[in-house]
Amino acid sequence: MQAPPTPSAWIPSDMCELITSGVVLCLALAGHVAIWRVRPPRRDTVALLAAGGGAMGVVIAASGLGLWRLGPDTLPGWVQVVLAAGAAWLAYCELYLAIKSQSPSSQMLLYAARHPQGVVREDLLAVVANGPAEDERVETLVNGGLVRRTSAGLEPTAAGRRLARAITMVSGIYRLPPAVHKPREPA
Amino acid sequence: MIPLGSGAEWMLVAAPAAGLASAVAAHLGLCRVREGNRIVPTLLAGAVVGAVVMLAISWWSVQRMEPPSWLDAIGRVFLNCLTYNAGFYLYSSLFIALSSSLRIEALRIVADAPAPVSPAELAALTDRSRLATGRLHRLVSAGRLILRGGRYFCRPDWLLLVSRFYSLWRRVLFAVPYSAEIVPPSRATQAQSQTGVRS
Repeated sequence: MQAPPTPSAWIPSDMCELITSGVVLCLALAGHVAIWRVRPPRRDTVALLAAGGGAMGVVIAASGLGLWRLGPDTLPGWVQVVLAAGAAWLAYCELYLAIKSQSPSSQMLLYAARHPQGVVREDLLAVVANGPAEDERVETLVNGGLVRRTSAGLEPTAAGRRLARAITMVSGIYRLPPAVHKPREPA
Repeated sequence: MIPLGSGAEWMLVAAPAAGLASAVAAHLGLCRVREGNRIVPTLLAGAVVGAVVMLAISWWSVQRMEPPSWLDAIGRVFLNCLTYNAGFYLYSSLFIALSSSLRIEALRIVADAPAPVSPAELAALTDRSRLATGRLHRLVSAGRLILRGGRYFCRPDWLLLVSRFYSLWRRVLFAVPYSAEIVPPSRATQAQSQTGVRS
């Protein structure tokens, strides 16, 4: 009796780096959706990075144990898989933040698309003005340890000051216009 | 023991990083030469330069590696394209955030202020309506919204498609009902009751 074919006989093992990267990304995405459907984590960026790292670890471990036979057979092949899956997952993390916070342009387009008879300017502007409140923006900076609340108001932490200095420096290198708004001098 | 691979194979692995470095260098050079905040054209030019470098190195490496089959060569070059695109997407997102993110602007305002800033003062400085006006102007200039008879109409294009995909993915992840996706402005309700026209 003929032995059943091994999985590598069904799938083209020539593209093992591409297939392995795809499997890592699918695992990470499945874990991400499963966790978010149960309960979205508070520190979502950390959870997303952990999901990506976990998926990579699972595939490497499965390959080491002989459960995954389509892994690359050289070290550069594995490095290519880690780089590709890592870069793609980081890009997804960035995309997730954009999806979560809803871009103002997307909000306007979707609102206009839902009204085929057209919308007036005030309504389009109000769609964005009704978006995430200022408090949410400040909260992100406070939770990130960049700004602290004091009785006098909002103050930058040492990390926030360093980051703002770095941003100003990089903006200068790219010749981007400086921050437009300046708070008034204290009385 | 896993084989360490040939020099050409390591060159293939390094190709996306080399492409990304070239893209960043080209973009930086263009930004410094063409001052004036032209974000998208300079980013696109940088992306093209980086892609050419990445593909040239990948092609050169694959020729020297003698891969087991053409399918393997295509797979590895495609993987490099994926890595390069993801890396450049990250870079361009960070660059765009640097120039237009309200959170970054808020941090810079708080950090540069000579005294603590009150949340109300910060809200007034990073006014959302200013952002809304700027985005509306950008959408109309790009032809994505068409102004006709005092009303704006949406023209189907790729950005609308992307926005719909984002909206769908938000519903998958957060179980947000479609009706709650976009909060209808209160003015719309007022306008409807006054004019009888659904906006």
